[in-house]
Amino acid sequence: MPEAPPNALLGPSTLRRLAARRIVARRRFTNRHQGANLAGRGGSSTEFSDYRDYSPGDDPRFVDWNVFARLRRPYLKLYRVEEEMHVVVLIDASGSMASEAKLDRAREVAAAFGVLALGGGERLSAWAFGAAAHPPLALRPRRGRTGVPHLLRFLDGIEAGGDCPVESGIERILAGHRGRGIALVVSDFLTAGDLTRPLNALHAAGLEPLGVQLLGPTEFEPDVGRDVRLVDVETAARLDVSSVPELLGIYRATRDAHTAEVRAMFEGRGGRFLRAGSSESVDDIVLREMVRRGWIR
Amino acid sequence: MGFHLPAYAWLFALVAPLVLLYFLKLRRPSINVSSLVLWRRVLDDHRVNAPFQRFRRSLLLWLQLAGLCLLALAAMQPFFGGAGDSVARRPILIDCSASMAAREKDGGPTRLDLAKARAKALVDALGPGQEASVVAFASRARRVADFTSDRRRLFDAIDGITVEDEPSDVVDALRLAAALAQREPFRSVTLLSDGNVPPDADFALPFELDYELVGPGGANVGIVDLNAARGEGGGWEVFVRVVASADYRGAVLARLAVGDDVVADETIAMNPNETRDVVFRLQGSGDRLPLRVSLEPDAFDAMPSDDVAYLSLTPPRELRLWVAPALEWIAPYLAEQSRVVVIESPIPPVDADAIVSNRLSDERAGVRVALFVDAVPERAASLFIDGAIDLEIVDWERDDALLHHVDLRDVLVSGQRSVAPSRSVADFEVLGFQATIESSGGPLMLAERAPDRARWYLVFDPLRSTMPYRLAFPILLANLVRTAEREAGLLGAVGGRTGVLPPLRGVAGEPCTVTAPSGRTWRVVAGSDGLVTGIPATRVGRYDVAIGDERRSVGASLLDRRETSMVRVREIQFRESLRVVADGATRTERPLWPWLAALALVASLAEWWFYQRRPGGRQ
Repeated sequence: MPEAPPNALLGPSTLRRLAARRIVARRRFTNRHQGANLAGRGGSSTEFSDYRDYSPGDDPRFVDWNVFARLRRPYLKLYRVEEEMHVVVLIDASGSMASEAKLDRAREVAAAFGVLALGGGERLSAWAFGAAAHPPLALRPRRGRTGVPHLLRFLDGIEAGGDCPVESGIERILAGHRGRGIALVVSDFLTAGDLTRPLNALHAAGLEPLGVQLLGPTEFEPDVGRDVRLVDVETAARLDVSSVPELLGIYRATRDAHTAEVRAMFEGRGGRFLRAGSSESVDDIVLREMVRRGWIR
Repeated sequence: MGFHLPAYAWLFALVAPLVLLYFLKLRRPSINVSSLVLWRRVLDDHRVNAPFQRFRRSLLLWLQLAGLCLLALAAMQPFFGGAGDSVARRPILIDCSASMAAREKDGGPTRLDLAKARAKALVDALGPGQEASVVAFASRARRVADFTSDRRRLFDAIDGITVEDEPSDVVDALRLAAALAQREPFRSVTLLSDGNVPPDADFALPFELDYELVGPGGANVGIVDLNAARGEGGGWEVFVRVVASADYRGAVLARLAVGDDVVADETIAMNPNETRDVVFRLQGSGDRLPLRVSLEPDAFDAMPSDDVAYLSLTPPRELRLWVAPALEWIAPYLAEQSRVVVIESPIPPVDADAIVSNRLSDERAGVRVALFVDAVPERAASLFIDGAIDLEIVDWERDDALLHHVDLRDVLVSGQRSVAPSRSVADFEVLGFQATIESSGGPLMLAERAPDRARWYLVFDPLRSTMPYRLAFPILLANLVRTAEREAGLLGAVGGRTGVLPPLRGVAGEPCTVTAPSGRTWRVVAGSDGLVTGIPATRVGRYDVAIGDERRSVGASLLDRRETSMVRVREIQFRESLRVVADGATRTERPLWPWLAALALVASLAEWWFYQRRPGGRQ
């Protein structure tokens, strides 16, 4: 694979390592378009799949003459079909992602995943949603490595801001999306809304939902050693918190419970979920965690 | 434990607004977060919203509360120790008697130094609103500082106290304190003394007494008595009594000096608590003989003031008596006495040693002894009524100087006056007379004593009684001569003591100059009777008194056995079986507010540091 042009999101070493990897879809949500992913049904690829009895009208080129010579009965040799998979990357660019480099990390994860998709010959489209009042930013579907510069430019152009919740953003994107495959949602998932409906919609649209939750360092270990006033960067809402002995423990438990709830929603719909810190590198998130969890091989 | 200003407890009420302001979230730092979703869920947890839960880790609030409470406590002026409640006024009685000059060792502090240091500590421990006064006492008490909270004034007053070479009279000091209590009440009095006080005090304590002993003192030896008696051949025998304290053991060289010349000395060995008498025999005569007896111990002597004593002797001469012409029948009785000369003069001379007269107008201020016959003092005249009456002597004062060995039984008197029926002996006592001979009709002889003179009044005519025919009469006249000789110093002399110098004869209304041993000089004026009285003599030594052109030297000596013996009385018995025992140091109130204020400052600094601490610094 030729070297990708240098960019601010992914370094050369990351790109080299990504070139040897492929996205692993748990479900075979593929499109009719021939692609690099094997479909479950018989096809015309070189990878043997099965035998079946010959029926009149079948293409005699697919009869296995060796079996006919031994058994004196014609059997048709079936091959797996290599179909195209549509990889959709959804980036939460709302105000909450602006803090603690969460959006930066989201762009890098999206870039890495997009490079994997384009390198694997899949169709890739990308969306970013931030302000509820504005339509999501979209990268129209691209194929092949030629789409990488488009993807990187698109990701570079994303700016954080707005108060669009992640569930609303997903639904708005699905309204304009066509294609089956994998939907990677990169967000902090800190929403009070219900993710059930957008995830159901993803599933119904033939997209395997993959969730990457990015949290900042203070969302892992908040500084609440004293009484503070918390201000929501999206809504400017305020909340006064008084330091009590169990506060940090309660916060951790609440955060983990929330993560577990979101994870359950993804996994309940055949999807997968990963929580990472914005302080982690993209190599750690994509090339280590996703590989370890089997999202990438 | 107590508080000087408990009214400041209202400051604790500031806790409520402090907590209120705290929870109104003043100066709560803002932190931007991505979302409040998780935090809203956290705050829904009952553990976070449990009552008082937020108090637990509100270190800022706790520090502020601690600082406020400490400041409120400091404002209440708490104190530790003492009697448990605040003492508003504290009189401090400081013993400055002779024994307070004693040192435990050479170069060491005197007991008075220690007492003054202790008094200053008491003053230093005064809390706000507390006052102290200082009373110094030896044989007399005097207030050296009124009740005040001004430490500087009290310190100055304490510093100004010096030792007075006099025995101590704690009762006088307590009486002064009681007088102070009448005007400015107080609960307790602190007595700082070396314990060299009488063990019994005839005084009913109206307040609590904190009796505090200072300074153990050291070994001492000194002169406790000095007197002289006329010896055979016109000389003098000088008697010196020397006493050693319980710690003293060693030899003492006693010296007798006439003027500046040492005329005799004797070395005596003293053992602890031993009393030794030394007798010097002095021959010859002259004018007034100023004697000085001094001791030179060969061991450490705690108190030097009792190592010297002074005595003035009168040269031997004849007693000068004057008898009124109307009483010339008495003169033979007097002329028979040895060393007596009866002056023949129509009026009494001013330098007579004694007079016998029937006229009150013959009274002379300079005459020490007088016997008035058939005369009634003017002040007592109203107590008598005239009228011839036969009187029988019923009793007489056998201890009276004129009635020694006088037997008046069966003496009959045909009096010309008697006491009015409504009057009694008490009426004479009120007027300053003592009835020395009492009869069925009232007093027949009255005695009147003054510091420098003695007067007797026979209110009847002896010739109208059987007295001249009795042995009693010449004995009475012989007693008169002996008394006159004693008053004139012809029989003997005793060492002059500190306190007040004996009255000196001067010129009425004329000033005279007194020079103390320290060199201090002051002027006093003779009274209308020509006497110079009340000259204070607080230090041992010779006092020079210039009266006109005449200069007299009067010696003042300590001569007090208790002071010299250095005994320490730990328990004083007061009236009504009340005992006061020396019980270590007076429990002074130690202020705690400086510590509380310091702690409040620490709490404030900690609160400031905690508040200014960088967010996120706590990992």
